Amino acid sequence: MKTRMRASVLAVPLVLTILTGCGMTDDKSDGVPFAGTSTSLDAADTMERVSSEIYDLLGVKGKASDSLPGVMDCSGKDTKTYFRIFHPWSFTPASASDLDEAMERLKGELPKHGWEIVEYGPNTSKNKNITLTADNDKKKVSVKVTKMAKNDPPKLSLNLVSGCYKVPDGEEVERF
Amino acid sequence: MDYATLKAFKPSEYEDAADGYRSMGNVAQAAKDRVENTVAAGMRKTLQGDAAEAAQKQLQALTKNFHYIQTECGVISTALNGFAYDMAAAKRKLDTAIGDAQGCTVNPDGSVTFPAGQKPGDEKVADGGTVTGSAGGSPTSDAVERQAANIHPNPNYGKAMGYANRIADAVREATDADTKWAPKIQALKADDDLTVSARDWTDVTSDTGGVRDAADAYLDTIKPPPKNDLPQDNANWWNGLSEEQRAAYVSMHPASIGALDGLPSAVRDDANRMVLAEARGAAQVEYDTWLKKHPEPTRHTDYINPMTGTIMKGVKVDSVAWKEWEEARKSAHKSIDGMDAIQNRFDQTGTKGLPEAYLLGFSTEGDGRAILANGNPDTADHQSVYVPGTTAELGKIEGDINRSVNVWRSADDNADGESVSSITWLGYDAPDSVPKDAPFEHYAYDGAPALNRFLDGLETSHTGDTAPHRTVISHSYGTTLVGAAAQAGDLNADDVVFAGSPGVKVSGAEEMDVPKGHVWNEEAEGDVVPDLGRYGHGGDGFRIPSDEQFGANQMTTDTEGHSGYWDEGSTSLENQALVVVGKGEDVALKPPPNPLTSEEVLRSK
Repeated sequence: MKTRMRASVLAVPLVLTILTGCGMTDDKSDGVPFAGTSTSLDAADTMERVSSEIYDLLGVKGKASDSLPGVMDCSGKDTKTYFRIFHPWSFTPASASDLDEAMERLKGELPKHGWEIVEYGPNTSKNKNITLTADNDKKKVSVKVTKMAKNDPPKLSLNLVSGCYKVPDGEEVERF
Repeated sequence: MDYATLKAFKPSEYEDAADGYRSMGNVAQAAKDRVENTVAAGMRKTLQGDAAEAAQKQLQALTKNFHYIQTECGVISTALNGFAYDMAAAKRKLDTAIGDAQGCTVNPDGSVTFPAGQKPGDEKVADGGTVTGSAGGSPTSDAVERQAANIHPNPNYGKAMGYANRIADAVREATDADTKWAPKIQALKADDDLTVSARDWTDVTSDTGGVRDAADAYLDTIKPPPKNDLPQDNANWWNGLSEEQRAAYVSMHPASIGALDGLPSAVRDDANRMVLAEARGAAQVEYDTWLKKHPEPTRHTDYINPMTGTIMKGVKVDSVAWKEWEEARKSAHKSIDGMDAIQNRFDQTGTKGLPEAYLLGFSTEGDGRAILANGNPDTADHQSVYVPGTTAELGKIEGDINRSVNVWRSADDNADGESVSSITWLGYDAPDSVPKDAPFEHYAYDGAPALNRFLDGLETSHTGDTAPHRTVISHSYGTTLVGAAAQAGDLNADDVVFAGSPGVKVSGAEEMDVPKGHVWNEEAEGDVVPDLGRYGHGGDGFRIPSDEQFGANQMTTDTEGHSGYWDEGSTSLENQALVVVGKGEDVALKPPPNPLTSEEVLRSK
């Protein structure tokens, strides 16, 4: 048994290497990369650590929501043995005027930490929110950040989604 | 049962015992809820590993025990009240007869001694005496007795005879009640092991049936729910019952309470969990019987090389007989799969912040029914109701449960601290096959009134000063049902989301009973269902929600095909979640998709 600690205090890289190290060159299904073999709970813990790393890049004072990751299907794959992890959370800067800076920081810092920005600009909503999409090929995670400037309070909405995992042999995907 | 016993009988002692069992049931229920939603859920928040898993298994077994205790206590309590009610009726008759018999003496054996008396005009005073009554007089015996009384010189004789008969009748009635109840109450004994098995739950079903029959007189004193299906009337009815009456009604009619729109979600959940537990027990017994009748055939057979026609050494394949058996076995196991998926959702409460689940509807009839909420709808600021489409059924409910779980996660984070309840509503018989059944509209019109009632019920059972913001999300044939519900009645919603709609019967967003600008549509790339369905379910001019003239907001999708609308992290799901929390202005929109040409539709077939 292990007690789950706060994501930010855990040493990150070792676990990630084990999880993704041998899956890098594996098959891609429908453009979704293979993220390795893991239980869904372990993969969710990994995702929390990735979110925590992104939080550390924000560089402005504020509060992250306490939303936790969930499990989703891996399209075209057996739902009993394959899954993806998604993690929606938000960051509300202590001062609304810091919202732009938080977004700018992410735009500048993410590429220095293994993320490739694949899309940036206003989306097609009425509020024309600026969104940033970045992929991390090593961690097999994609993040979409939406700057919700007109939200009350103004915040960044983050959606992280992983590649496809396979559960260890003989196990079934635990859903939560 | 004799006169002395009935005279000493105190129905209130049995009513007190019934109260005791009812409180014990309440304690068991509270303990079950606590183990499930606080202890087990709390452990899932922080603990992982083999030992934690083993502990969870034990907690689940404990939960089952408390649930069983709760359910059986309800039955026992009703049985005791039913018995007390029958005995009290007999006791009242006895007491009235004794009261009337003033001037005579009622003896300990129930006989009546009358004093000496004299008929008007008689010279002599006739001696007193003692008579013993008999129960169950007939017109003939009554006439004979009247004659005897007339002849008898003592005028008190006839009166005494009447009292004695009434006493005998009361004792007979009490004896009948005693005889009727003894086996029913005997049957309420549980085995003394700690495992709550499938058989234990089928026993509960049979105990409940027995008590329900025997307690008819008592249960008839409880007003039944109104027959008009109006959620507000249902709620008024419920509010008018005493605690004892509510408990008796839930215990004896859990399925009808569980299905009653307008009642508090916690009450429905509680009743439906009893129905689920009993149905799960019955299904297991049925499946075990099936297995006994259909033993597994030899699985592996030699592989014959199709090129050479020779047996390939060392290569074994599944035999035809085994494959057929396996298909039949899976089919026999299907309803169990559905029930276990619901139970799994209960067991996951607490994992990564998953909220409590509420079972708002459950039945195994037909394709089955399952209505499951993530988070309490009665206290939620935002409610979403997801209506699944073609091929939805209890046996495959897992995917539809997961979809609502995902909507909850995505909406909960977007809600900025407000609360969300996301509900999967399988409250109708969905078409079983796309080409065979989905072109027919009766599934939609048959299910529409039930959806309207459910939505009205959510409004009724909601507590607090502000009405919740309610979104109806539907997929595929589910959208047709939602359209039919708006057409045939009043869809009680603030926003409507269609995904992969083949047409919704009505021709425009303004017919969906929501404010202008609150109908949302998703058509993903590669989804041919909308253009296949328009000729069957489209409105005027075969119009569907993907057409510009329909007037829905077209949300962007980044999923492909007909079933990807809930793929998480995807824009499609995020957009649904934004609508659920009332943030339509943040939803990414696109121009309406171009309809497929008829050749493209044909090719896709």
